[in-house]
Amino acid sequence: MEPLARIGRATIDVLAVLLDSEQPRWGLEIIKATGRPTGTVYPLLDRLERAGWVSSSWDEQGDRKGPRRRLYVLTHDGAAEARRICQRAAQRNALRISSIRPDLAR
Amino acid sequence: MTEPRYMRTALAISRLASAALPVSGASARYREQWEADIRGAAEMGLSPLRLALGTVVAAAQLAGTLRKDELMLASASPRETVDPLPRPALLTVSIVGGMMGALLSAISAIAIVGQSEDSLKARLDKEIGSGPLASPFDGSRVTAREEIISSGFKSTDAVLVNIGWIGIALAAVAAIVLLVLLVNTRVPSRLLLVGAFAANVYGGAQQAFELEVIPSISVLCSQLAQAVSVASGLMLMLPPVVRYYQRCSASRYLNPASA
Repeated sequence: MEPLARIGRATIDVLAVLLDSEQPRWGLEIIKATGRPTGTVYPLLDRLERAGWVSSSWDEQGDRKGPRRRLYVLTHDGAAEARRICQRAAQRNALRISSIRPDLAR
Repeated sequence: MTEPRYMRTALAISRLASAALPVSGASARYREQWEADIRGAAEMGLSPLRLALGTVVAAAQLAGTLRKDELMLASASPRETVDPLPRPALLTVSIVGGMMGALLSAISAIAIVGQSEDSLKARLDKEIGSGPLASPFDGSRVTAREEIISSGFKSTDAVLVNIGWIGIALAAVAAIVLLVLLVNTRVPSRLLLVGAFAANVYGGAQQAFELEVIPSISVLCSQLAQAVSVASGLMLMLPPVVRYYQRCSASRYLNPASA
């Protein structure tokens, strides 16, 4: 697994959505859950997949007709790294909130 | 059952977007993936048309990444070669787009300097002869030299007025391309630098060999090269600096004791 060159908020959102579920998630579900634009999420998933954080496969099990859906899931190493990044982001947010509004952080 | 018109439009847009991907395997994969997503958008409460427009943006970014991968494979120069450098040097190298970028920037800068020197020398040789220049105490020769130098700079400045409609159209296209490149940060910066370098060399060669042949094209090339150099410099400089600043501020947040 390769380290990511940059980890923005969109990356953290996508990793958090994938961490929430043990099952592979449909790409469109990730878009809906993160609330991020399509033009951001698809390239991000591609980047994560190339770096080995995420693996994807076609949904062959459904009895739906027509084009197959692409499902994404975190790899073992990707999940460990994603957990660490999401925890760090949460700590950072808590520190920010405590520096701006100490009353809310208590 | 026929599909509604908006669905057909959305599917057509996503197919065009996937067709623009440079690698056929990726094109086929995203065609099917996006088609499935657009057909399923309604059940997720999303707009198929909006989704299709998003695939165009995604395709533009994916195309940049795929081309970059192809270039990296072709040149077989892994990015990791810059890792052993110390941090300030790493920042400097990342600002100019890697080792190759640094080299091209240096050559490009030399080409710009050489170009103006060559053109002035050519004008001097043409207008006051190729013999040895007069001493600083020879009033007439020194005045002629100064006039030529100042007129050289003026003619370069005035070129934007003289380039005409073709030049304006070229400049407009260049501006649009630059805008797209600036928005799409994954475009290989080295290609841009190679373009700037090539345009510089062309403009410099035209001016150095014969100033009167196609003066407007040569000077236009030089101007465009400089504009591209500035734009590529900005494009290369801003994201790493912002990322470096973000990394520093993030480490301050995470390790408040070190701040």
